[in-house]
Amino acid sequence: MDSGKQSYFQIIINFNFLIPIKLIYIFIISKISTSGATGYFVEYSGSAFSNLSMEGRMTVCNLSIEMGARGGMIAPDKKTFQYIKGRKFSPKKNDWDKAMKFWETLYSDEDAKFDKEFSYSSNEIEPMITYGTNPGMGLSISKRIPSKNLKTTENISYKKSLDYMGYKEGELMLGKKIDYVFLGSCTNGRIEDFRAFSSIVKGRKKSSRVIAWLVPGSHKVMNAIKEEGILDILENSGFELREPGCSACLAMNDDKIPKGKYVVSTSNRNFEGRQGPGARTILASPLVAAAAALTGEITDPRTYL
Amino acid sequence: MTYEPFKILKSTAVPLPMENVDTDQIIPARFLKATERMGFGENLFRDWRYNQDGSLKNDFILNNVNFSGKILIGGKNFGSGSSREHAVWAIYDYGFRCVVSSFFADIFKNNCLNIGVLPVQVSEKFLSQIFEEVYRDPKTILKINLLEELISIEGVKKFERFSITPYKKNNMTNGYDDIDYLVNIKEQIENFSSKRIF
Repeated sequence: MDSGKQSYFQIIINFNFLIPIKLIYIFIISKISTSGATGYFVEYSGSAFSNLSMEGRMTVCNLSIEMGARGGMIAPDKKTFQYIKGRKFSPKKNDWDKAMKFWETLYSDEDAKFDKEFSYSSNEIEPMITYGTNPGMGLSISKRIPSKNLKTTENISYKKSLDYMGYKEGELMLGKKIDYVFLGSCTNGRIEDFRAFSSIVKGRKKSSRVIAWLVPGSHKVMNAIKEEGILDILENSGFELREPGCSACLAMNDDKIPKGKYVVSTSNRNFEGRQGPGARTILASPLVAAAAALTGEITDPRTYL
Repeated sequence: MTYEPFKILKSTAVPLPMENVDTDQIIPARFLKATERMGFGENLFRDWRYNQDGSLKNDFILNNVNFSGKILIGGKNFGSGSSREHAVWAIYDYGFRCVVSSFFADIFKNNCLNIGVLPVQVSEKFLSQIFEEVYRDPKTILKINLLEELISIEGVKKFERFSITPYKKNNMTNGYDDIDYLVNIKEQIENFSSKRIF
């Protein structure tokens, strides 16, 4: 293997609450493109990432591949060590001390030079969604689908993508009708995603035009959803849980979105046919997915916060 | 030897001037359940190639009798998305031995090199020349000389160099994958891991 290059992203947050990971992801990829980090390892730093739980950090690193990267990493801190300590395969006793000594060296030097550096601040970040058929085709929820005057092959791909979605350049995404909502996948099937989703739908009712599939990432998450009372909130709002698994992320089992239908999905990929032949995927965070489930259309979740 | 060694390939080519061709298009996930590498070629570009009733889509390039060959020409960022090896298996099984593009997704590229499909990265300019020549005359022959790292369009004397790491070049010309390589350096790996705690 050739060693990877390095790329450094920093996101500085001025908000007091956590930014949904899927929002960060669609935002970064809309800036960097699906090939912008090809060949690189990406180091994420800044408070947007240090504020995240370990599960959240792993999710961010997992998503690095969507911009072409070989891998993603976040320097270890107290949260990391706390997470590892006492786990089944973690070093014990003396080995733990030795390991800690080594792990504590695993951060980039202050004067480290990277091949590419990006820095964003939170005032640039709004709720994000995708409008096309690759994760790089994302925009702020209140913006219009870009009109592009591109050269041949790019233009063919862009037009084909919009045709597939049934959208046109210049259209507003807000208010577009949707048919399905999928909350789940390896990157958004965590307990905190269900907490976020339920925070929006609590005390409200699911739109009757929407079929919603809520799929925990694991049985552990499903149990937590029950124990924390989230299941009651969801059921009162007209939602039900499905069995943990990949479900509609990649249409390998029967959880397929029918041809031509629109799904607001918290999964990673919006490629043609990814969620079923002819399915039209709009990627979004659990908050955006929850707002869409209530109204049956693309809705800014901030109206419910 | 895992696949047929690759040294010099002369063939006609199939043009697919799309950008960001992702692995879900190359082989949709619903066809990934097979445990053998054979047979994926049948479903290569499944949803672009067939209608839902299984009939052929006449406007797709693989269904155009004028175009055939062992070389696939794709647009920028070819092979993005899921890291599924099956995408390359499908390309190989269909009969392609080489994909030419101006940019490859990283994992796809490495899967290619491991499975016996040579990814040849050329400039945007040369890629447009290839598309142009192949569309003008579908019988245009491309010559991929891995030994000299040279791709040429026969007849019109246009060529360009491409690069490959010496390690991957050695593997490709011998038909080896990474496992063949790792097995050879087992002793060094054991030596390294004995010095680590975990």
